[in-house]
Amino acid sequence: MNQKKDSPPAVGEKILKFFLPSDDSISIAGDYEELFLEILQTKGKVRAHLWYWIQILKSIWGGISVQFNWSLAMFKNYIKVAIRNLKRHKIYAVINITGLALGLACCVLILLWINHETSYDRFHTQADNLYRVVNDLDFGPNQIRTAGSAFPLGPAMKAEIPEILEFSRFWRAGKMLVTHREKRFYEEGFYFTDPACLKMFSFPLIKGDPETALASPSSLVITQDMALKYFGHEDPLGKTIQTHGQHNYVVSGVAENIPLNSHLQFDFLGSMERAVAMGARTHWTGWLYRTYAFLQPGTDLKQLNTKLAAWIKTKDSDSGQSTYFLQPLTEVHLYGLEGEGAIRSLIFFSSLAALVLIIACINYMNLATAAAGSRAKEIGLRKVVGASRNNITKQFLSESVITALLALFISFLLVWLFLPVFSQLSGKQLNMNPTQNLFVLLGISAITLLTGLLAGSYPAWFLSRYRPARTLKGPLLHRKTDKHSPTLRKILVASQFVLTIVLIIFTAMVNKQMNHIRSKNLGFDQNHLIYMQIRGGGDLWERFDAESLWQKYTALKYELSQDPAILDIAAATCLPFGRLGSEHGYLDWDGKSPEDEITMQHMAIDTSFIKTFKLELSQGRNFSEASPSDTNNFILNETALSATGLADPIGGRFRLLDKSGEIIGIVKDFNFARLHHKIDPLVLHLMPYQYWQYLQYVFIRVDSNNLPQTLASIEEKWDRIIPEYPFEFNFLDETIDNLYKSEQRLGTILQVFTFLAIFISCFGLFGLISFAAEQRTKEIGIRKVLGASLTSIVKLLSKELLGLVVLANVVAWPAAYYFVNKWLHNFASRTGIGIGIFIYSGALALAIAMLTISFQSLKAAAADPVDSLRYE
Amino acid sequence: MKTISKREEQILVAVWQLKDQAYLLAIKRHLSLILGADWTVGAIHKPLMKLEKEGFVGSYMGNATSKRGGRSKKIYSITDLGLEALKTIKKKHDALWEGFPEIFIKNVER
Repeated sequence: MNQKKDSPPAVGEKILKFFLPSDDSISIAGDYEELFLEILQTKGKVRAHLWYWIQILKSIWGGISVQFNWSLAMFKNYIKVAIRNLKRHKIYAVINITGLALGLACCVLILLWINHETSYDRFHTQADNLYRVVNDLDFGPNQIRTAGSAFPLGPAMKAEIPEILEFSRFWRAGKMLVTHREKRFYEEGFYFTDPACLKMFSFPLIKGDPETALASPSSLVITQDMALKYFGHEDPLGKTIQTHGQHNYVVSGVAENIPLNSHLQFDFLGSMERAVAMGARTHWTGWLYRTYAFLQPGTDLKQLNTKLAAWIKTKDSDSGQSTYFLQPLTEVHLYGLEGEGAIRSLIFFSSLAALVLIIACINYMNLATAAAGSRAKEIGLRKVVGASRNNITKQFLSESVITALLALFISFLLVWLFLPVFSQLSGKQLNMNPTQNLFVLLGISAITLLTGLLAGSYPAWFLSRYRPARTLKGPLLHRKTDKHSPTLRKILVASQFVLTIVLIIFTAMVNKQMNHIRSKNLGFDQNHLIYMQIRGGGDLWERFDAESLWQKYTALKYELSQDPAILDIAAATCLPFGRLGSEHGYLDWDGKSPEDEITMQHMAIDTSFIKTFKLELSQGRNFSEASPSDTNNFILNETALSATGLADPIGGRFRLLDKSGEIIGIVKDFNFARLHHKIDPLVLHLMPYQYWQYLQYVFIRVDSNNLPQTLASIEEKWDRIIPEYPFEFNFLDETIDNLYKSEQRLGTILQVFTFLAIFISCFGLFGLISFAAEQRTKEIGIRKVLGASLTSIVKLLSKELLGLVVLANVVAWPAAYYFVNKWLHNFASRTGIGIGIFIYSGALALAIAMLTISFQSLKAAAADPVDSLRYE
Repeated sequence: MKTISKREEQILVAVWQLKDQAYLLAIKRHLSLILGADWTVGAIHKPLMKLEKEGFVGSYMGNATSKRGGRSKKIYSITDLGLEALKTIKKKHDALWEGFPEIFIKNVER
């Protein structure tokens, strides 16, 4: 036996020492070791160890029970006193608990949201080994980061890089017309993918075999919802689905509905083989495919990314335009491509919730210290009986924690009530299921405890300082004994209002900017403009025949032009605000210098497009059907004109791709993208005959009167002329509004938070002023007896607090300016930050504060001095 | 007046008898040998702490031995106050038991 085996277990010894009386724990531990050895020698090793561990258990139990018994006895007393105090000062209890409950409710909601957002894509059993390919595309003057990669990338990676075990690509074929018997719908969620998809990702199949579901080119996996939509309660397996009335698919699997917390959302999954057969781009310079990789577990991502960057350069076919790297699947939703993902709004809204909570904490601190006078005797007595400063601190901390716990209880009720509203505001499906939200429960417990400690810290420190002799002698006069305490309270009140005013200003600015965007002249008339697809979307154009599309469009246009309610009708290959063509290489004009690297967007339209959109021409003329050569001519927007630097553009030569002709007109700039962006150079050209197969969108400007009737008449004509496609239309202004959804959401949530902040601050102010009025009852009485007027007393009471609110404005304005300015930089077109909004917001805060204060101070001032002098 | 319980009295006597060997375990062994009761460490240590606090015993750190994992013993010694207390107790004790026949004790022992 060696030395080590003879000694008692080391862990046990540490535990034992912890519970032994500290002054001679070392010698006692020695005693225990000696005893241990004795038992070891006489009764054997097992008995010795057994004995030792029993001693440890006993020591733990003993230690805890002693601690617990004593602290429980004291704690019980603290709870009793805390509850008595809450009962005695009902108004302050209500103020404190409401404020904290609202703050905590905000925190719970935000935590639920965080929990939801961070749960994205974690349901895949292989989530930790799944990655998305990100592509840094370098087009000379433009760099674009995209999730699109080239078709051959996946197979090449799998074949040549050993760490990449599997890949699957996703390709969305655009809007597809899907039919089964008489059921006919446009579908946005139609994807083509590789067979490995169902094995890599955890999209379980209810019906069908994941091994073979995507094996054949005609196979199609649909989700449960789609099965219900197209097949009702029939068994969908083996049934046929058609796209665009031409391509047949056989349903080979039914997948469970895709969880909402998946960034990959699809309704139909076809086989990639099928897409290729239909003419999908398969070369290295079409970046249309989202590629996902399944990595060898334990691969070092950094190393692999470096390797990947070097490897892609060896693929000469890519002409060195793209740099690929991998991004963990679980980061896709949170960080997006360039950190623009959910994380930004999460951080923003978490800090808002924290602000509201801090404002509530400040209320607690202020009211607790303001109420100190009524507690002074109790503290004094406790100290006389033998309480140390530590004990008093503990008492007030546990009091605030108890208040916070009460508030937590109410906040759960609030959350339960308001969760549906918040889900709508945030645009997320949130639920309170505790099993899914363990993180939330733990988080909110920690936050509550922290809140309690924070709120109680200053009162505890402040109140535990009292000298028993002085407090027992008589009432406490703040002014003389604790000169600096009101200063800190003043700072707290002021900072509360600083936060509130910043929030008011920010909210007002967000509203102003949103109005600015809505009312901004986009350069075209977006109202009463409806648009629809004349054929199924999809980038599989081959089967569409230019002739028949042209005929149908012409027929539709003719029929509709008979109706006086239809003002104009136009066609284009793409939607402004959608994906426009973009070109920088194949552009040329008179006097273009070779080093000019300009990227222009281009859009093919028909002759009536400019008139229908009410675009204004600043020079030249519109495309005309009377002039056949116009199919080769161009109209530039003003930005494009200034980019070319041409002084006299009309009649100048211009070339785009394989088309070359003259510039016949200049159109005034109009916004064809989100207002976040600047207006880019844009070239408009006429769809030549062979382009008619690309025709996709029809725009109709309708009269605002009798809209339902007009729409019905369009539908009737549509169904007659183009029976193979359903009539599904959108209003352009609604589509544009949707582009600003996230800003609108920000605005609404901000308003709610601001309202809460104002509400809680005013609540606190109300509490403070009523305390002041109560404490100075006698003073007010005497002043009145001596002839003070009502106004002078109101002034006396409210002057200090109102002064603080004014001061808060001074601090809040620069801070608000900083944040507002930063936020506005997200927009290319922004409203001015006028001083008006600051003055208006500051005045609003002041007015609300004044209203709160005047109610109580008026009451105090109007009181009969006879009553108040008798008071006590 | 500080009171001394029976247990404390027994421990105090043991400390006096063991002289410079009087550390916790020695006291425990001594008492269980004479009184025939196996007490736990805590049962000795607690009264010892009280005696020390009230000044009946003092203590100093003794030598460390390898048997104790290199930790030194805390050796207790009786103070003058302790000795005085013992003397008083003994006097009262004897007075109380005055005339109790030796023979009874022997019978009990056998």
